[in-house]
Order: sequence, then C-alpha cells, then structure tokens
Amino acid sequence: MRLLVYGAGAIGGFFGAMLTEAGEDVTLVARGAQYEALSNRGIILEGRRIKRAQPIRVRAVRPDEVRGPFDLIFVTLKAHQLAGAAEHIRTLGGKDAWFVFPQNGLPWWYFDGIDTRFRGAKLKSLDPDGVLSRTFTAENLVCGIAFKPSDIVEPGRIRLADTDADSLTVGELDNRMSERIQTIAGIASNAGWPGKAVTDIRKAKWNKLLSNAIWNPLCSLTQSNPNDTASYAPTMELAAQMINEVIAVAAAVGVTLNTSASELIAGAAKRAPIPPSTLQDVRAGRAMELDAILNSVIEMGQLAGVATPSLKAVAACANLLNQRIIHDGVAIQPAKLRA
Amino acid sequence: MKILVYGAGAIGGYLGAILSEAGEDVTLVARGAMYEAMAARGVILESPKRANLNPIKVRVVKPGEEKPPYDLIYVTLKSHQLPQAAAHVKRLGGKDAVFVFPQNGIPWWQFDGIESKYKGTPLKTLDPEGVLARTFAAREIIGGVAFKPTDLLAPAHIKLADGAADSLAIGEIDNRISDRLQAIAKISSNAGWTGNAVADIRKAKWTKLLSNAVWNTLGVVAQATPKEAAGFPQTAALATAMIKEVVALAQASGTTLQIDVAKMVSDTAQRVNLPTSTLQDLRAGRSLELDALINVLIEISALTGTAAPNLSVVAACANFVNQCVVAQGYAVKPVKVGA
Repeated sequence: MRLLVYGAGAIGGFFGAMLTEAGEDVTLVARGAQYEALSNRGIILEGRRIKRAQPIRVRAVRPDEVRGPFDLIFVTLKAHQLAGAAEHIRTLGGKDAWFVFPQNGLPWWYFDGIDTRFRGAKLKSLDPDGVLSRTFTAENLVCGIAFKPSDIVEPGRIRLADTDADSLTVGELDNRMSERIQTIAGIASNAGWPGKAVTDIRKAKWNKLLSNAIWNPLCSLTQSNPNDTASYAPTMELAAQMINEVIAVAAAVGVTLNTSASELIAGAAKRAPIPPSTLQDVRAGRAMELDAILNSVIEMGQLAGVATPSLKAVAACANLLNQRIIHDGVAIQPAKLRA
Repeated sequence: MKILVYGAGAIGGYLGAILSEAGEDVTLVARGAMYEAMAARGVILESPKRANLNPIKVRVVKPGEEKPPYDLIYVTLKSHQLPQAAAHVKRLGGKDAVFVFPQNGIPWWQFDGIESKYKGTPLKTLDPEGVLARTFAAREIIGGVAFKPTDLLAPAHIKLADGAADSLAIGEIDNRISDRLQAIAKISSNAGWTGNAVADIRKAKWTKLLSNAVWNTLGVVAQATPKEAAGFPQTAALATAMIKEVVALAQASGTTLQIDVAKMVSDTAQRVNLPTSTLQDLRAGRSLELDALINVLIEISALTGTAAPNLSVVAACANFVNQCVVAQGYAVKPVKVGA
C-alpha cells in the first residue's frame, strides 16, 4: 500500500516519521524550511516515550514533485488550507483511494451521510466555495481526529507530550464500522500511535473541539498555555461559559457530551505546558485555524437557534487578531524584558 | 500660589512645562531617567502649534526632595499608582491644599460627595485597602479629566496632538461650581490648556471612559488600534455591545450619558491610526491600567446588578495578559515576518 502524508506540520511530521520507522511505503509532502530539514537530516522526535537519538530518515517531496497514485492519503493540513489544496490532493489518489482528514474542529461534511433535521445544510465557515464537497465523495472520505500534543521546536524537530488519550481516531461519515477504518486504525497502531475505529466520529470531534474551541483562541489572545489559562479565576469563568455554549450547540444538533465545564477545566489545568497550535501560529505569524474550531460552532449555533455570546465575543477578538497577523505580515510574540 | 505637579509622565510633563512657561511658581516631581532629562535640559514639547523644540526649563525634584507646603497639587500618576503614593502626596499639601486628580477611568470617590443609592460605597478595585478614602478628605479633592493626546517619545520629550476637545475638565466631587474650581480652571487656561470647570465631573469621566474601557482593552487582546477594531465588523459589533454596557453601568451609578453608539463606533473607524496608551504599555512591557478602565466596571456591575457580559469577557483576557504575562516580565509585540 502506498501511503502519502500531505502536510508536514507537527502532526504530519510525527506521523510520517512513525510510519517510516514502521517500514511503511510512505512519502511526506513538505515545503520551505520544513522540506529542507526533512530531506537533509530527517525528523527528530522528542518525547518521553518516543525519543530517538538519531533523526528518522523520511522520503520528503515538495508539493509540485509528488507523483501519485497513492492508496491512502493522510491530509495533515490545517482546516483553512484544505480548500486551496483540495483539487491537487485529489489528483494524487486513484479512484478508490482513501483520504483521511484529521483536522481539528468541525468538518465541512458534518450534516452529510446521516439523518438529521439539518441534513445537507452547508456551513459557510468550513467550505465557503463548496470546493471540498465537490472534490471528495463519501466513498473516498475517512474522518479522523489526531490526539497527540506536539509542536515544532525548529524545522524537522518535533516535541511530543504523552497522554493517555493519544490516538488517531477514524470513522465513517455514515457511522458504519467498515473494514477500511479498521485497516487504517491498524496501520497507525502498528506504527506506535494507537488507532481507534469509532462509530460516532462526530461525537469524537465535538469532544476534541471542547478543548480546541476554548483554549486555542483564549491562549492565542493571552499568550498563554492552557494549564495557565485554566488556573486563573477570570479566564476559568470565561472558559466555563464557552464550554457550556459548545455543549449546548452540540446538544442542539443531536450530540450529547457527557462532561462538564469543571471537569474539563480541571483537566486542562493539569496539562503539560505546551502552547496550543493556534498560539504557535500566532507566534510564527501564520494564519490562525479559527473557522473550523470556533467560527463554525457559532455558525452552527445560529443554524440551530442556540445563543453563543461568550464564543462570539472571543471569536471577534481572535478573528481581528488573525486579520492583523495576515494583513500586517507580523507574528505576535512575548519578549522577555527582565531576567 | 505654590503649585506641585506630582508625576512626570506625558500629561504631567506637559502640564508642568506649560505652567512653568506661563510663569507659575511650579515644581515637578519626577524620578529616574525622567528626572535626569528634566533637570539636565528641561521638557521638550513637540506639537504642530509650537514653532521650535527648545526645551522649557522647569523646576524638578525627586520624590522626597519637595519643599512643602504646596497650595495646589496636580497628582498626575496612573490610577493604580495612587494608593502607594497617597500618604506621601498628602504630606506635601498645606492646611487648605487642593489635590487635582485627572486619572483616566472611574475615581475611588465615585459614590462620595453626592446623594445616591450607593452613597458611601467604596470601590475595592480602585482603593483596595481604603487608603485613598482615609487619606484625602472630600473637600481636598478636585476630580479631573485630561483631554490632550500625548505621547512620551523619550524622557521629557513629549509629542502633542492638537484636538478640538483639548481641555482639562475639573469638578468638585459634590458638583458645586466653587470659586476655587474656577480659579484652578483659569490657571491651566492661562498656561494654554483650556480649563473647564464642570458641574458634573462624573459624567465627564464616564464619557471619556466610554472610549477607554472599550478600545484600550480590545486593543491589547486583539493587538489592534481603535481604528482597526472599529473597522472590523465583528469587533465593531462587540465594541457596540460593550459601549452599551458602559452606558447602562453609568445609568445604574446615577449618570445619564446621551450617546449615539453607532456614530461613536463609525467615527472611531475614521480616526488617526494610533495605538492606545494601554497597547503601548503592553508593547513596552509596562503594567496595564486596567483597574480604573474596566475592572471597576465589573465591580459596579456586581454592585448594581447590571449585566456586563461582553466587558467581562474582554476584561478576563486583558487581566490575564496583565497579571500572567506582563507581570512576569514580558512585553507582547508584533514582529515582522519574512522581512
């Protein structure tokens, strides 16, 4: 089976390295400094459980050099990068290729494939031009969720944290327990990242979103890690309101989340001090992944008639921050003044 | 009349310099680099109205070297610096001394001096230990609002903008138009900064706060100027909601503000594109003046049972930045990417 990992950020780099080490026939698509580091030296993984003295040599190619067809393609781009790359990615897989999408946040196909009163409803924040819906069919599409705290310390060097929840969770749009999702889960498990095939991927998405919709924007606005924001009374209170709003929106579209704000905040307070991916983007001057993790929740709330005042206020600030970063071409960084 | 200007930031330096130029018997209190620059060469005022940059000679002393008693003391510290300096400042005044407090935001004596439902209620955000209330008697206090866009370019080098609203509004805390109030207004008018003796200083303070509470706090969270925040539809909507909350809090505190909120926001979108003083503080790693600008509003919200959900969201984020980032010795600033 020919595997492709399209996008070599922290998750793509981590997974590509693990698959390579497990002996899979895998190619990574990378660009810029990340491509240079991957092709010259390989990938260094730093974590407690996964620690390699030597860089892992990987097969890396630039986007314009990649030659298909591949059988299994992990699309490890950010959600807001999908529309721009969709058509190119589709050409890299054969007719029966599987495309796994492990992006954070709500997916563009949310109301496809299952019966719901919103069936077929489209969320503008996720697929503004409809290009994703047109390019990928339910037959090709596998939904994924990446659970692995990771960040890029420097090009080709990925820092990992280990948690009990570490997994690549995969599921079908129509919730079937198909053979292919079990195959894909097996490939991930075999490479050392526990694969889980699930029959309710939407619920799993919401559960991860309960973290991303809250801490990613809050930490980006405050230059902090979730363990800090979850330990400071005013932001804890704000996070609790936001969590309750997310739970209410999920309930309105038929997903019951069995958790509470206090449980989630207590969990976040105990996390390893790693900046969420969105704050990593802010500090690197990259666009923030706000549509999938936050704006889409607000849009879904409007669709379902659920008020989301705290999410809206935070989103307004975060979207303005994102606009400043893109428009001014700047990164927003903390600078130590005193020792 | 012996005049003291206590605190030589942009406003204090400006006031001290023009009073000196007008021939008043005035002393400035400064410290550090500010003192050195003033003592060595005087104060440079840079403004379209002034033909040259010749320094204005001033009499400047370090704290502790004053020669009391003084008759009129302008306390030009930031609001959060007042409690610590109160006892010392008080000792510098003679028996009938008057202290003018032109800080931004709501004053600690908001509920003193006039009849209201909340008469005598202390505001813990502004005067946590009650030091200010114990130190200054109502008859010694004159409230002030400084309208003069200023920017400290270098120690004792102050850049001024000229606006139609330029003035130093002052008022008695019991709203009387007293003789002394008019005499003090004349002192600043004679020096070239229009003094306005007003019969409702709280209203003047709330009116200025409408702007500071919203743009200064949104700006530090989203890294944006008032013009940018007002020009971005989502934050324009958030600002509109915040302004309405401030208007409701003013009303609950006994002050009616007649404001065209939509016009205020659209006018702001047309303003000169300058960062607020609070964003300048964040970029320089200086403590943010949030207590008098927004935290006191959250306290008044609880006191009066007036909802302020959007102010609370922005306050939570801004306070986190102040207490957990700036207080740890960090500035937060934009860095050009790919330059």
